[in-house]
Amino acid sequence: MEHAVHHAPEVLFGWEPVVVATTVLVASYAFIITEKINRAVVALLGAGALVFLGVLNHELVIQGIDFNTLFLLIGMMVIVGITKQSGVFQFVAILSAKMVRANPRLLLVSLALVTAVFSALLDNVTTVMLVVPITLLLTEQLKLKAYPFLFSQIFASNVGGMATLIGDPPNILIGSAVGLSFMDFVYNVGPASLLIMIFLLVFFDVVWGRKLETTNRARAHLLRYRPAEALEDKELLIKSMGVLALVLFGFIAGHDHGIMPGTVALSGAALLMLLDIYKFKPEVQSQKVHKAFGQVEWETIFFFLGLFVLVYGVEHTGLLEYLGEQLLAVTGGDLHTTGLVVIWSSAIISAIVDNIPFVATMIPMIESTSEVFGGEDALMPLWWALSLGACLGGNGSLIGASANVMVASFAERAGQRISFMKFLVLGFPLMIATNVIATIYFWFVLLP
Amino acid sequence: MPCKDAILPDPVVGKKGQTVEELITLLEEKHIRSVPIVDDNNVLLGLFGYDQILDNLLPVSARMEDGLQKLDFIIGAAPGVAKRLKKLYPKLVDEVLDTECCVVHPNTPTWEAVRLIVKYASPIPVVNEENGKLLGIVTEQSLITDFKKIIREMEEENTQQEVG
Repeated sequence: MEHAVHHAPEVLFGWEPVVVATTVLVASYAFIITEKINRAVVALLGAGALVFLGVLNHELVIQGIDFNTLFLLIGMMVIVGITKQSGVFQFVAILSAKMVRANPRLLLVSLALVTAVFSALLDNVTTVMLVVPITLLLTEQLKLKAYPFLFSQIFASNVGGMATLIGDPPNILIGSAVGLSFMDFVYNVGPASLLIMIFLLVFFDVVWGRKLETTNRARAHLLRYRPAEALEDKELLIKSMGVLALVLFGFIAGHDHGIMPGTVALSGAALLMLLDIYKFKPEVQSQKVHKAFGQVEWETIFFFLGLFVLVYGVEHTGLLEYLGEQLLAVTGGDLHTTGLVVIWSSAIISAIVDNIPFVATMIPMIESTSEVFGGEDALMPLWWALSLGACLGGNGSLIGASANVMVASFAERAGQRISFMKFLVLGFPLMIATNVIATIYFWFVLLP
Repeated sequence: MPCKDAILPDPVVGKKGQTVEELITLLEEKHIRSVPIVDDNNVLLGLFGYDQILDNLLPVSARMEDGLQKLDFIIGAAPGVAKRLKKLYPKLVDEVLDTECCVVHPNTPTWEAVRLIVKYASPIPVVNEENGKLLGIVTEQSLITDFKKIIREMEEENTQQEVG
């Protein structure tokens, strides 16, 4: 076994490793983009192929996997899965509707804000899964079309998620690979997120908000809702909020002490499970823990796992370094130009394809340019450019981000289908507008 | 043992094209919870009953997969729900019936019929496997009645053996 682990990989039939790895990566991405086969299965098969073809061995596979990202995702999924049982997310959404006195114009703003804030602290898909059903109920009650609300929530989830390390998968990947802290994102990308959110709220108000009308009777009915009734388990709510606060503190304070976000999230998940189960008999404890782990989107985890190996395989052969050199050749090694290329290519490509594999590929490519730009610290603007472009680009089409697909699926089930073209006609230009704001911010604030 | 012995033949049925209001009247008159809906050739189209009616009264956000799990924060909703029922009256049963209901065939083992009733509730339509025509229904009552009949037969058999 020792021998199998440590021997240098040899590619079958003496093929060029770079050709084999590139072929496997391109074929895998083609399947992922066309969505004909489940993306997690494709990523795992691609990763397996790199090993069987001799590009990687077991040791290299383990080196390639970013366990910090996986732990962070799993930990947060468990925490959110337990927390949502308390009903807190519904409570906040209903409370926000009551706070604006069920005024449709203000409701459009308040629900978008709730989505943005939740997205900054939770993952986007979970956020829309929690907010969209209550939005459908509120709009049905007020006899309003759900489309403006759902559209604004798609944008709000991607823009809100951009503001923090844990809000959007591209940020998790970038933060983990580069060692950026929670507050690094809040300080550097947070203001851009806030600016863009303000722009979007004004835009939504002009396009839809001012025209939204309902009857006083419908409003009166909604005002009779009791948000407190939506809270299903107040004890669990207190425990969940306490653990979430500790985890956020851990993200902020842990970075300076070498404690990775993945460790913080998994420890928080374990603590919350302990608080949730300790009173019960062992059989019930097992059931509750089983249920908590069931909240993890394992498809996403295995997709990431396969993707890390795939990208590492290509990186190992030197292809991404070569592509990095080509990027520098195009931009003339100028940081400003390179930043612009990164932010716009990320936005456009992320609108068309899944931004996760794109960002996973871009990270080693950007890392390979560090010597030219004068070290790792000099690369910081490029990481922010990648984050801004990839997160905002997700708004460009209905398939640009997983949260968009989830909202569309809910709308379809509610009989209010969002067509791909209808979304694209408004979504793509709006994404371009938000990316222009991001570029101005990038140019004047983030570039040295 | 197949479930054909537990079949209730000639059950009350609803016809394709009837309105929800007509079928609610039928359910009330016959004191039953649901009826199989058939076409002109007696081919089963689905089940319709109080479950489907109530399901259609729910907001779509509570009916959908991954939708709202609780509605207890909505106060004073009864008049609104009644309005929804009134809107449902003129709809054709074809639009609201449960087309995914499970069915059994005369030769389906009794255990399976019991399992299906425990899982999906009664009645279970019994259809001809080849042409989908409705042959009857199996209910909790018809199954229990059939089992009681078997107990009696076994007891009679035992008594005869003891006498013999």
